[in-house]
Amino acid sequence: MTVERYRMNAPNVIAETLDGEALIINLHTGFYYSIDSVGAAVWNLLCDGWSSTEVAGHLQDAFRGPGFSAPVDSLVTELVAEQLLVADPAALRADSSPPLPTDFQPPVLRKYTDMQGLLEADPIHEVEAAGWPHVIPAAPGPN
Amino acid sequence: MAGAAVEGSASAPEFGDARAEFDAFMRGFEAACEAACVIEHSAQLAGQEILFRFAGKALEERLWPALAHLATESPGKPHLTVCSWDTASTGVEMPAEVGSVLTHLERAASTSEPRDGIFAAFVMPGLNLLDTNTSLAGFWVRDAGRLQYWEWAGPFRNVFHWWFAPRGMQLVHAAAVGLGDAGALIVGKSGSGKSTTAIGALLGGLSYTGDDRCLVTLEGVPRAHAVYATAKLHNENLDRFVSLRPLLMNPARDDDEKAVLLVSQHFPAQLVGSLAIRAIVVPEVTGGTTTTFTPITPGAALRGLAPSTLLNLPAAGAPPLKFMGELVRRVPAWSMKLGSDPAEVTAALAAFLGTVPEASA
Repeated sequence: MTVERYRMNAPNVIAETLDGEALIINLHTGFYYSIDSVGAAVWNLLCDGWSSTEVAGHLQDAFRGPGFSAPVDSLVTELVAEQLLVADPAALRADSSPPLPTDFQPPVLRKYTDMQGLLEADPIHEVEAAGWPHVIPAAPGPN
Repeated sequence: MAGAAVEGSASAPEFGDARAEFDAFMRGFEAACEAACVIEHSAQLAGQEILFRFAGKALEERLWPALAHLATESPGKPHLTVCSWDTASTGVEMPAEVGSVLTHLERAASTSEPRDGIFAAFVMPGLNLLDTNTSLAGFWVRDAGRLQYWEWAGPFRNVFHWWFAPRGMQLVHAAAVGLGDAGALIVGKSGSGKSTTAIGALLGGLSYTGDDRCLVTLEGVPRAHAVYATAKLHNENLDRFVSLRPLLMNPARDDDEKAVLLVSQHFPAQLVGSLAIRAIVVPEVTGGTTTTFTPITPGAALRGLAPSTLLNLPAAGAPPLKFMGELVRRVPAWSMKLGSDPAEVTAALAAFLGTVPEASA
């Protein structure tokens, strides 16, 4: 049986975790995301090659209860749909795991779309036969 | 103006020959220098000596003013040389060997890695190149006379990013003002209040290193270095700073063009080379009357700083995010809910900076 493993969708996606909050930026779409608490730990475990089942089992051990598969699977589905995670059967699972908070809170991925306009502006308005554009003012500047 | 042919520009090589592209670009630059004249300025930024070479007066007059505060009278051997030209004023077309603009656009969007040590990206409105082997950089636009305000108010951003990032210095999308040397790095997306806060601080007598871009160093105490001696304001915000109207660089401008002030000309004493970053501040326009500060997490500070910085750079990659992560780990951050009176905001910011201890080295 093949275990579903993942990796972060680099280089389009970059991420940094600070004090239990992960900032994830999709440089391709211009969207960025934050996820904290248990969700940030799950994100980092998935990026470290842990499968959904292994992550859910890790949470079950830590929080002493059943029912962790559904929120983990739901988050994985969302992360894949947002092109932040991609399946990678060759991913190697890291031995270490990030610390978990004391209490379980279902993971919530917050999506920010306010920067997308920076990537949507089409800078080329007229291209010469040689391929070099005449610059015609139209799109607003980067800031 | 009809473009003059550059020798050897008849056939383009296959995509991927970065060295041939760069050499062809430099042949274009040299041809432009022969067609016009060479104007050189030596500058120093964060310890790096930079020689700016412009082919012709037209481009120099547009791009140099924002950088002129960096000029050095006794230049050393340049670490970096930036060669710039435009086609309209020199009559020299881009050599075909440089490749197509669409290729350079795609490359800018797809990778942050240099090829053969050469960075290249077409980013509105021109082509940017840096050869890390020779420390030569290039910048080209079609028409110096039609540059947009964000380019002449803040030129060479991509070249600076490529050059400084490997040297432990990061160009960030932020303003920085200070009480003496005690500075606040003001972060956030466009429209969040960065520029109005910075310009208010300028008028209120605080020190200033930029309203939109700063070069941050982390060695020792984190510092924000002044790169561009300009300040930009949306037209709708000019009513709050009516004293600036007669001082603007672009008194006649389109509705969507920001008003630009040359700080080095009108507020030279307040334009400082760098400031110690004691606080990261995320402004928020609230419509309230009183400015207040509330501590926020490092993650919230990074959310204010990193996306707008990285999405303004060509495929910036992971290292700049790591850099900004280290910055927010070392410097405490606050949300700054802005009052409606710029003078009150400045007074509150100055009082706040007087209470914040120096960041950890």
